[in-house]
Amino acid sequence: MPRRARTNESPSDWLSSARSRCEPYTGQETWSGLSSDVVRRVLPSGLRVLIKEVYPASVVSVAFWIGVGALHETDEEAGVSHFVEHMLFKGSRARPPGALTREIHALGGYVNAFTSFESTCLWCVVPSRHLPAVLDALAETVLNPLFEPAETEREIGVILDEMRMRQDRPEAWCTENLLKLAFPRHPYGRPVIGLEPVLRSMEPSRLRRHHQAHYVAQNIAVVVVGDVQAEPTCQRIQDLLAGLAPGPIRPEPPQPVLPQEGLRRLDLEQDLSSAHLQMLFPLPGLFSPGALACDLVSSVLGDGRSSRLSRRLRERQGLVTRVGCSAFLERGPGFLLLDCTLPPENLDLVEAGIFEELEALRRGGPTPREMQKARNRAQSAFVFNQETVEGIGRTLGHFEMLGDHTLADLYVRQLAGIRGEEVLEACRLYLRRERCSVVRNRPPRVGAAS
Amino acid sequence: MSSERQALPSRLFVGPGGLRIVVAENHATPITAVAVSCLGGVRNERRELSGITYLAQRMLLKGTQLRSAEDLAEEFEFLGARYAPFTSKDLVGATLSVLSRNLAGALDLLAECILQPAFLPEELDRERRLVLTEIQRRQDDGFACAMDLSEAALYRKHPYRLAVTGTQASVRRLERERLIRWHGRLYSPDRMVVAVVGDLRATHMRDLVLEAFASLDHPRPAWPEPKPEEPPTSPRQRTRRRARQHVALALSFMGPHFPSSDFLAMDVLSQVLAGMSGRLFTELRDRRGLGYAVGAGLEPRRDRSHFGVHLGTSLENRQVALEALLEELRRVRQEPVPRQELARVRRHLLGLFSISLQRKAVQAARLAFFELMGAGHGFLQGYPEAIRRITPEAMLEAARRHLHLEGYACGQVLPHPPSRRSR
Repeated sequence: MPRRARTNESPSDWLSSARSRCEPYTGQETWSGLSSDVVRRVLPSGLRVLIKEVYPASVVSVAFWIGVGALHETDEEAGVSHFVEHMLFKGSRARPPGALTREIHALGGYVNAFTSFESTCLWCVVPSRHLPAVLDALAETVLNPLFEPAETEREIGVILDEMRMRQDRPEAWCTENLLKLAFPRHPYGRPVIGLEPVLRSMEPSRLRRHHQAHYVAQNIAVVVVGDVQAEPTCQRIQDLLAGLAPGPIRPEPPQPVLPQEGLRRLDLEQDLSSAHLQMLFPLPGLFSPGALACDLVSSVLGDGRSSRLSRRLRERQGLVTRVGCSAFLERGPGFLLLDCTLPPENLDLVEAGIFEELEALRRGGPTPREMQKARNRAQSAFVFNQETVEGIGRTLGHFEMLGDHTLADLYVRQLAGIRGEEVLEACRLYLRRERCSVVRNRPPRVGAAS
Repeated sequence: MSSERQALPSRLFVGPGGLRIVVAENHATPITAVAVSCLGGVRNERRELSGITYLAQRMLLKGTQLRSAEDLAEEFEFLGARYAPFTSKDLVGATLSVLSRNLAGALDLLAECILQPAFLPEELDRERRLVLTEIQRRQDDGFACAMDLSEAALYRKHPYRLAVTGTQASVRRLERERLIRWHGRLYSPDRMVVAVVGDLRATHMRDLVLEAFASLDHPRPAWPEPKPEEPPTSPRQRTRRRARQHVALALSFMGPHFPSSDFLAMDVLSQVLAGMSGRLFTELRDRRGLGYAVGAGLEPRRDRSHFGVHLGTSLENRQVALEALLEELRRVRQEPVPRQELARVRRHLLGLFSISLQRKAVQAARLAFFELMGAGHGFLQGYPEAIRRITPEAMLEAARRHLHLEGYACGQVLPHPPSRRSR
């Protein structure tokens, strides 16, 4: 992947170039930015604390972001980050299995966690008056998980069940296979949930090693958003996490993306009524030049009923029940994912139609109105996201883990400054047939052997 | 004293034809949310017309007397608006969220969609085909399919047994003229509420609604009331087999109507059972490892509300898991929920309520819903107190009255038996 080398640019390089290019913001009158009044502290241990006071909220969101995910795993340990995330709920020194969830629910809130390619996140939302109790509970959980053998054994069954249920969801199954096809021998090609043989033989000692290596101060950011007072909250977090090992951040192992010679294709068959067609084009990482233009490419192609693909395939031709497009832009390599649900007999027609639309976009680029619409939609989505404390917290945490929480605002501001020519250039560079991977998941053909 | 988020005070205005407009000022964000809701829909359908409301609603975005479908989508999306028509068993309507500075334009567009859809023949053909594909696709979703099966089995005659989308056969038969007549009757100002929550002056928001819906000035004919139906006297079951890894199973019960004190008691009771700290999850998944997904929920309805339970498990564990699930339901009919547990569940329920009220779209939807269903828009503020008043005894009585273990319906999607399962 030729653009891969450029993703090594640091967040601060990207930031300075973004700042210099940034045009004055002309969006909503009441715009105040997401990161403008965030209190950010780096504690002596290296732990990062971000607090945003929001009034009147009456609820508070607390998230622990740990900089470890599937990208940090080798084939032999595939799924260990996700497994540790599950085990956070399965008992700690002070809490028996399941107690964390019960405790947070009893406070009137909810708690959940997720693991992505880049991070693990444990987060909850509760009425604000319970902030101290929630900080205690989450800190203790992150510091002291037990990984008891019996619980580990039981959790193997639960995760394998989760894995099988994903196979019964045709879209998820399609995406899993698409990533495998597009990123062979790269962590993106493995499901975050892991590989079955690794999971079956998971040992508490393996989980403990992972926890000790990655759940260290420098690798964690705590993000609190709500009607809270920043200084005492920060002090409380510092006290609670005093026991956190300082430890260095373990970098991801190098994972080159193999060069692609031509279009890759895979056909799946499941007992389905509708078919699914998904296509992937590799993109540069978020910190590469041109990355944000790719976000606008995705918007022009597949965001909303008036986007090019939806207008043609759904609204005009009625060939698909759904079509969408998203740009996955992270620190590592990015990709553009097109996703349709359709009657199986339309598969060929729709695939050809998509390539035609991509070609048209590569030739003519977006219209000025399409550009303005994409910007308007991005800005609106950004404001909608600020309606909830958890939405604000998720955005801040996401960008903090990418290197700097203020990227959240710059991202939207910079989108406003992208020109049509840059989008055209991105289309020409990345929407190439020979760099595409295609997966079709369809019902078995009549007469074909199952 | 409680510090839970209180819904902001709302005001009711009544416009021409009896149109109710509920507005609440909320200055937290520069966003305004609108919920247009109207009584009528699936509850008024007959079997041969099943899906007519849904298809008519889908046509709202497919062109008006003034604008093509493409122009509508383009204009809404240029304004950065989120918009969608909806159809439920009791209601139809549409929701809109938009930056407040774009409210006037977006609201006019929404009203145009609702009041002047064109039902262009070629658009109708296309939309019908898409709906037919969607109906087919729903069969691929194990839980959705199991839930449809269980609800279809729960009722013999009442329209609640009909799927919102209709069936392949019924949707194919719906004629354009019929759809136009149906739509002409759906939106009647005397059965309709428009709720607006935004950072603008209340009277300004009211005026924008009055202006947008000015042409809706006289009531349409009333719908005939469906005949009430009693719960089954013995369990009913419907099964479908697919090549799957897991069993998806759903149980349906006829609950109390909304609003009623039994409904609130069952609302709390469903929270006792549901969620990751609820009894079903704790017993079936955490303690016995009998399934990955299990949950329960109560859906408020005008006639009998729908109390549903779902379970995802393996074929081997199906019977044991189902018995364990029924045992938990039996328990809430036999013993009062301990006060400590009730206090915990109540805090959880009210906490979730507070958290959900952060979104103006949720506030607007609930204001419209409560006002239409007879609880009054003020119920949004009164809900926490009403929940706090629910006692274990009231829950026990409600469970005994509505959770009939001899009278429920079960829908399930089963994998083929092991000998037939393909590798």
